[in-house]
Amino acid sequence: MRRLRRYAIPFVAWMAVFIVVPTLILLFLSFSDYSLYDGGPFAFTFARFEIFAAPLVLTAIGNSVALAGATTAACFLIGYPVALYLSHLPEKTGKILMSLLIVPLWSNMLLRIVAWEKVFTPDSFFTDLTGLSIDLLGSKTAILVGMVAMYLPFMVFPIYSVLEKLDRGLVEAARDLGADDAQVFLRVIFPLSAGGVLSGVIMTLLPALTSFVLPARLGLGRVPLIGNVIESKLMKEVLGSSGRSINEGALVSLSLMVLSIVLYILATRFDREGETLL
Amino acid sequence: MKRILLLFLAVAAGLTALACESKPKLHVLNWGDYIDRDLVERFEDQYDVDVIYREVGSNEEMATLLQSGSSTYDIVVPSDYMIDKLVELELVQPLDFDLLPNYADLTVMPRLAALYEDAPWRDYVVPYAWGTLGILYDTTVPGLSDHVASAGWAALFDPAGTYDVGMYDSPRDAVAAALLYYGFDVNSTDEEELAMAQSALVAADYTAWGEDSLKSLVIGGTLDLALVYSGDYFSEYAAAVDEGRAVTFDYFVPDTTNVWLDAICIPTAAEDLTLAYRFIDFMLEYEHALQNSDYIGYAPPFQEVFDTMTTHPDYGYDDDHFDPYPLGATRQIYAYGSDARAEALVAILAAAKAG
Repeated sequence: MRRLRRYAIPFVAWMAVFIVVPTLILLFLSFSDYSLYDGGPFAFTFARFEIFAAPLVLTAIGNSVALAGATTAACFLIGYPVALYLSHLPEKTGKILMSLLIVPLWSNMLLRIVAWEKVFTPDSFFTDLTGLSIDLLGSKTAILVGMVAMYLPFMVFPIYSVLEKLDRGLVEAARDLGADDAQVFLRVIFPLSAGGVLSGVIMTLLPALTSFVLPARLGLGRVPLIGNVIESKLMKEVLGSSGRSINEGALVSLSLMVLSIVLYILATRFDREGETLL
Repeated sequence: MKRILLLFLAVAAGLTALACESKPKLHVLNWGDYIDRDLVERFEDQYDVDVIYREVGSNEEMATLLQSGSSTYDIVVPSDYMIDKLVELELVQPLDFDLLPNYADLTVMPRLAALYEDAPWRDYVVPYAWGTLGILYDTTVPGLSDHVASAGWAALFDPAGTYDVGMYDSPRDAVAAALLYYGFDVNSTDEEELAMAQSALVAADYTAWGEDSLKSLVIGGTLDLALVYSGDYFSEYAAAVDEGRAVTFDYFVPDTTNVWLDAICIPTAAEDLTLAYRFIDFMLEYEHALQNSDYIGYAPPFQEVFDTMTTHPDYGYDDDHFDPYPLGATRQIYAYGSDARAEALVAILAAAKAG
């Protein structure tokens, strides 16, 4: 092991420069009134927390939690049966169907968002094809459908990888001992796949919580999410706020990071071996 | 620790070697699809240089890039109010017009020149393109053309919600539209006027808040009308004509509106001043200015180019909306104002979006 350690140096250096240092800067900006671009003297302060009282930020947090929660729930309800079905197929068929889920991920996410935007337009190519007009742009439904389409594969993969490795002998044993289908599923299969479910939930929940392009385009900017607040704070409001908006954006970003870390720790506690986490 | 240091040095040395091996570089920061790349290539060939071109989507992004200093730029093309702020922050430098011989051969259109002759940034810019703020609407909606023409700005502020209206998701533009609706100045700092603007924006309860997405929403039928820049209209108009689609939309410019002006500046931190001036002067050569303005399709700031584009049969820019400042119209140009005002604008937009 010792001899291998030096091969990790590039990685460690990379992490230090591009992850640890930026996080420290984020931390510093969140708790100080330091003006990133103007420099000068600064003091540590908790004043930036006032941002969490702003109506738009509160709305955004509410929207984010509700939409990310709904997305995750929908992905689970759709994704679990899919993963279960795929895991029962012969290996080759399963792999082919699985790759059908992966291939869309290779296309640019923005393109997929714009495609949904076209579908949700009153007079779209979809209308020409089917005669149905879906005028959903600007609604939470549109965002939800878009997010589920975007993040569903991330729910399916980890569940599938757990189910695929599941020891069939355990299922047969349960049946031999008289369990019916429902009992086999609820008391054997599902508990054994819980680690995968948890990974799936994290893999879906976190990107859904932080997305900002998708809600801006499919929600027509009417449904602000927390990602939009960060974008606005760091990209749009910088000059007008004597730099303060950067500190506010940093604090909101940091809060999301803390939330992610908490969720991650919960997940690793639950899934000690950590082997299902992608 | 030593190893890490060595590795860093090795990487740094590698990067420096890469950077040094080639020709002089000119770093340009501009808007997306806002220059004829053929001209850039010709410039590169003529002077045997590399132009590193970076595109951004907003003035704020441009300013953030200049302010952060993460990389230096030799040329930047911001708009009026942002130039105002960049001058105040000393992020751009005054131009030496003696180094731009071609500039003397062109005449800035007098009505445009009058708009910024008193501005503190007058000597920092070479104008690049200009246009108006106006209303893009769907001509297939019965009665909408008449409604927009008679109501003017009020068409964007109808609390009854007869039409699906889109508003620019930019504090300065949204508030300017509301101020114009009441007949106030776009640069108003009067608290009462700004409060009225906020109420109007809140009451309008927009169907969509967007940026360059608004134009396609109007054309796609999601929106009936929206606040847009003239550039949004021209690019869609050109696209429709090129693709042989029917033009189902039009652009209305109320008598009093804002004029935007994008202009070339040289950042204070520019590294290659000689090359920067060469580039600007290259773009100012009459033939090049004409080719570039024809490519981007917005009104050119120079009278000679404008006249050719509107009268010469090869160009035919005779669109009613092409002249951003026709006789009889009133035009206002943004000033940055104070940081406090900019912050107030952000707050107004936040309130309007929160409903």
